[in-house]
Amino acid sequence: MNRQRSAGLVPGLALADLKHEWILSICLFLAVAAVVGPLLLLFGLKNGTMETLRSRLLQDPRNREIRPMVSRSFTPQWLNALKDDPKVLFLVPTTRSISASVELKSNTDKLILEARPSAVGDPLLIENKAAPPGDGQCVLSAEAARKLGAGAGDEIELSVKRLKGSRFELGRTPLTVSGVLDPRATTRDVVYFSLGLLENIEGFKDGQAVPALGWKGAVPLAQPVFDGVVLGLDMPMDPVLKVRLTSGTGLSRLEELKKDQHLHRLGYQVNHKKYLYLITTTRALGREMLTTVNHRLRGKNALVLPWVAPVEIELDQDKKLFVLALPQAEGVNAPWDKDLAMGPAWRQIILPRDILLKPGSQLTCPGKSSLSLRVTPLDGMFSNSQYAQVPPELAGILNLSRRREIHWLPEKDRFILKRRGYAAFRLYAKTLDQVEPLKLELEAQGIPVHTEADRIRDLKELDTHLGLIFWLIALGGVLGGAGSLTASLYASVERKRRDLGVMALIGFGRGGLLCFPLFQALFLCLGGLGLAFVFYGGMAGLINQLFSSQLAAGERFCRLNLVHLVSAVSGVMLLGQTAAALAAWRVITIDPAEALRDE
Amino acid sequence: MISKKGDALHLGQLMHTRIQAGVRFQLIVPQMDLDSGQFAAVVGPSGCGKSTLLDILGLVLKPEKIGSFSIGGKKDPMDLTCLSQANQATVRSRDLGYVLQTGGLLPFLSVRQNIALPLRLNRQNDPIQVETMARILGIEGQLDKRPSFLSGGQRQRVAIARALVHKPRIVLADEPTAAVDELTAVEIRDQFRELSHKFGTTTIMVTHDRSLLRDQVDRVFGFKVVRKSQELTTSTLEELDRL
Repeated sequence: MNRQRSAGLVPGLALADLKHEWILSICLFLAVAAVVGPLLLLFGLKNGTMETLRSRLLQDPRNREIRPMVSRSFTPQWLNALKDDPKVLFLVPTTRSISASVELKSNTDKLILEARPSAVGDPLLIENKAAPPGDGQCVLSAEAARKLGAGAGDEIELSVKRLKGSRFELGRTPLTVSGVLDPRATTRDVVYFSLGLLENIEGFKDGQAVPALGWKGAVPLAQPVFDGVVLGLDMPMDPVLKVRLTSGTGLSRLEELKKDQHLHRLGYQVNHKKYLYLITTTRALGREMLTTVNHRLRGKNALVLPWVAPVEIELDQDKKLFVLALPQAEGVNAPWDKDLAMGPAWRQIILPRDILLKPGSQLTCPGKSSLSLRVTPLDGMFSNSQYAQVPPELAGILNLSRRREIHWLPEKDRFILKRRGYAAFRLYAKTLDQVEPLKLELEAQGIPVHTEADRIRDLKELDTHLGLIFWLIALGGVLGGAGSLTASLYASVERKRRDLGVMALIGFGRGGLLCFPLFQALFLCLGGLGLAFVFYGGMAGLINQLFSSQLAAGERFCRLNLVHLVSAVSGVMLLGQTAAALAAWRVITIDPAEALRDE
Repeated sequence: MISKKGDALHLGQLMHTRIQAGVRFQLIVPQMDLDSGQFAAVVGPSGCGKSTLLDILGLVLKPEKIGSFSIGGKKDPMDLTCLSQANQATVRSRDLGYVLQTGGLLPFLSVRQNIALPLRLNRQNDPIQVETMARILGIEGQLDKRPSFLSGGQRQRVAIARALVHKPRIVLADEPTAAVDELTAVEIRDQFRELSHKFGTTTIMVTHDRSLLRDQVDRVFGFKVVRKSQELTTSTLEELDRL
């Protein structure tokens, strides 16, 4: 009971002693503050600077940007698959850089600048105070806007130039500046368009027409491609001819077709020639291949017909079957003319007996492009095999659709080639940490990419090194502070041996006496921390004020959060109590008799 | 107020060896009995073992050999020969009081706080008791001062007040008048004796100044040398003068 009572009195006595020796106490407060204050400031600077750099890194989408370093044809399917990756925040394909140079003309000036595509959700634009442009709109970089003297809402003219033959052709369209980027986005002259407009610009530069913008030019018509040729000869093929036909023609594999194989391999019977051969290729070839073969068989009265490997089609979405080319030639009973012009004549079909179809039925080809067109079944005519038969031109188009995207324009009855792919892309990872994995994944696919990974790594290393330096300084400070505090408390106990002896003599228990230096350390540390926080607050405020012009809203060069402050308080208290424990150990050795003797 | 003989303190068969300046001395106390309210003195020349005896009585020194040591007499006896350290502290705070040569006051507490300290240790924080004690000793005007602002005599009065305020059974005083002038010493002695009698507190005062004791103490203990040993015996001042 006495022990509890004496321990209960000790905090008051410890405080009374500190108040009594107030000059010495202030010196000790200052000693603690002199160690803790600069450490707080140092850590605040390290933390604030790193936090500012880190948040800038996080906020700036450029640091999460990934761009391929090589120009390649990235298919829409591949790009879509990449876009669906959970690590990817945003992806937009880009056109060839050679096609990305455009001229903009404002009321006052004109400027040649780099065009980049954008789309909804583009973080570069959103984070830099501009909404992604819609149709007929563009977003300018700050530098481009300055040079053009244009701002948001202004009308400007886009001018695209191409060289055709020996003369330049121009494509022009008016645009509205929908926004101007923050200068931090880029220092270059850049304009952001919708991807569609950039594709049109690329198409125009490639010589194509862009009807939507009134730009004249060619239409990228799809041309049939074939997998081989059927040769009909009067004589068996000699080895020399075989070599001539398989070298430099793109054809490689030759097989002789017996009469009974005609229907199975070709879908029709050739009656005119005695010897029939099928020469195939591993890659699709155009009409020029037929011309070459014809040329090499000149004077041999040969039959040269295009051949397409069976193409799977779907009719009216429920009838699946294979289709083959039925060419018009002597000895082949085809109901259409030779060399049909692109149009309705291409879209004829001869079906097997068991399939009935109305005119204008839908034919879809489940290839790369899911080509879909209307076909006309020929009345009263049926295929002699299980294959449907179409003119070789349509078979060639269906064959092509297995490899490339083709679009059928019903209004013009034309097969148009869709763009093969995109030269590059602009991708943003969701977080900084996902940049490196994405980079590795793309590089594993053979796509070298440019990222800010090095910069991120540098910052992380800087953080580590600064942390190390801080901890070394802190260690020195803490050791010095601990030494100073221990020495002060120890000296204080030594000076108070007589008083502590008197306290022991009049009945204070050992526990109570032990608490005396512990409580004094607690009060000294609290006072020292108070002074240190006042010092830190003042200095941090001054530093942040000095650098305010370089800081964005909410940014601080010197900053400590609650966790840091609580850690500092806990650390100093722990250190103080450890130091006081040494002094307390000294108290144990004080004999109450010392009070009597000292007297 | 003087009650039955030996009812406050009993010490018997004490033997303790101490070495002073390389010479061994043996302190022997065959018997020491004191009653409540007695004002006793232990007298002897410097180095005779007075303070060692006070250390043993004050439970701050464990003797080599002790036959019996108790306080409270037969009515409320408490054996002090084998107390734990914690219990020693309890006995010191409750049953003992000390007056040291220069007071032994805590400099960081006011006079009032110094006097109240034993009361607070015994959970009796009674300010009236403190003020009453101060008035008896004539230091009521000094209560809010620090000890450093007091004269030597005032400090000793404060020390007496602190030693008696919680009404301990025994008060041990080690040369309480050594640091004051003769007149003040007499005043302090008289006040001390008066209060001891008033509160029924047994006081053992160690002193080398025999002039202070003449006709003013109830018991006198003196040291005599018996074969290199200092032996404490009950003496009269005349006997001591002859030694």
